Amino acid sequence: MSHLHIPDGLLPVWLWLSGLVVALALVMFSLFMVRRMELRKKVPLIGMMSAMMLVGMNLEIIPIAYHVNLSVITAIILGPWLMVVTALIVNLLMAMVGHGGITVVGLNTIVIGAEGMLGYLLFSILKRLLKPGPAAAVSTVLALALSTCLMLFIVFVANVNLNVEAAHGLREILDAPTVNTFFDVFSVNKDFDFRLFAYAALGLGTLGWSIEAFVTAAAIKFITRVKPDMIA
Amino acid sequence: MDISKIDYWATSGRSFVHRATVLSKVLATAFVISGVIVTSEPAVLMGLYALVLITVRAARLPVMKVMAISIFPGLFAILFALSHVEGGWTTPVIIIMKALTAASAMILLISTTQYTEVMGFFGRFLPRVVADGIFMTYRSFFILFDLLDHFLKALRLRGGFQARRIFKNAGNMASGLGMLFIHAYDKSQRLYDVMSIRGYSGRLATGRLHGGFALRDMPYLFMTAFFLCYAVYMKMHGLSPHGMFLPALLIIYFLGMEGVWVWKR
Repeated sequence: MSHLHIPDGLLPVWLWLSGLVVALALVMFSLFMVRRMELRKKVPLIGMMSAMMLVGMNLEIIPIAYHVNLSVITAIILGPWLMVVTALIVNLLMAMVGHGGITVVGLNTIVIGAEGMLGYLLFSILKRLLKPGPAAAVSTVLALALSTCLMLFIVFVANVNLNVEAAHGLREILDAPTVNTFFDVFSVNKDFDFRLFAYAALGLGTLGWSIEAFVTAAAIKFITRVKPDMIA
Repeated sequence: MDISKIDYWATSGRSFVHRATVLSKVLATAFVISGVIVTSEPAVLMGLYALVLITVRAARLPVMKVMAISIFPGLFAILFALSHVEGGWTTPVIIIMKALTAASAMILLISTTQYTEVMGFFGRFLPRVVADGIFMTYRSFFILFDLLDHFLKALRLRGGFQARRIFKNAGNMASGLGMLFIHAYDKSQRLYDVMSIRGYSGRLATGRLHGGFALRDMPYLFMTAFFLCYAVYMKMHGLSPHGMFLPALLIIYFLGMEGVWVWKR
């Protein structure tokens, strides 16, 4: 539930276009950060890890239509920068099979990329304090909570309208900023019940985070026992 | 989501939609998605959806299965739609129609075009690592999915799944995923070695993009372009579609596509 399964045509053009631009910039920055790495050696690994994420996304938990993302575990293995590249690849392939719109690929890359990066960061800190399994579980829950909030923020922003006529009074807002004037310029789509949407997403999300945390913890525990150098 | 099925349809299909050029199919899909973005008219959206489904039928793909795959990611769209119920039922219907139409158009593209061609096309606009990563991902997916399938069978046969032991079962399953990660990691290193021996120098060869259009590209491309122009015109003039114009056009398209199929046979 953490990434946007929003199809094409629902989000405002400015939002998904900005998403594409930011995601591309993020990918370019990530590639810049790993410029010292021999990237050609990493391409098969990126491919395999992206495929693992796709396999995870194929395992749907039927009653709640939830699937695991495996983004945190992928970030732990690949590192945060290559994780962003992986997020773009996975989202592109998902969009190809109609799972989320092609126009939303940028926003989804940002959401899943942020999820992986935060998961990696938290795991690097927590593994000094906890055993790898619990550290992975806590990192996963927090990373998924962040990405779900990011997704909710995007949906909220998509439903904020700019009142152009009132926006002419921007000078007045700058001169005398008051809450009322601000809400004269920006308004939330009245037909959209954000609270209902957020409750449903967070309700399903909480269950999903627990499942993903459990899966990630068990998998990390297994990997640290069998091939610990993969995580180091 | 059923990538293996979609891949099978794309490689085994012999219809004239399958044989149309990648450029024309990508353009037609872009027209459908642009139409979905532009219009908020239920009639135009239904027309676009019907147009895609008629083309699915013309490609001799199972229409019901394609519809089912396009509905699968619909949960989020339904959730999004339900959050808009306060303004009446028109908005939720439009949201769901937009979701179904755009998803079906993408599935039609990927089910009638081999992945090397589609990825080769999109790879031109992406950084090299991403484009090569997409190829590797698609190739690796089927290997890993088969491995997972074998693992699940082995787990069942050895009593790894037992009734009322949800946590134990989930633990076994997660360990299996851990094992799969290790396997994927090892395999990627072996793959790199093999690729290096075969001359890989950081650049995967992709298929050439065939330029130009053929006659068989025209029906779907023309219809999608027409629908996009129609949606833009309606939007610009604040008009709503009326009468039987769109249904009549779609019936002619359907008969034409079926006629071509019979003629080709």
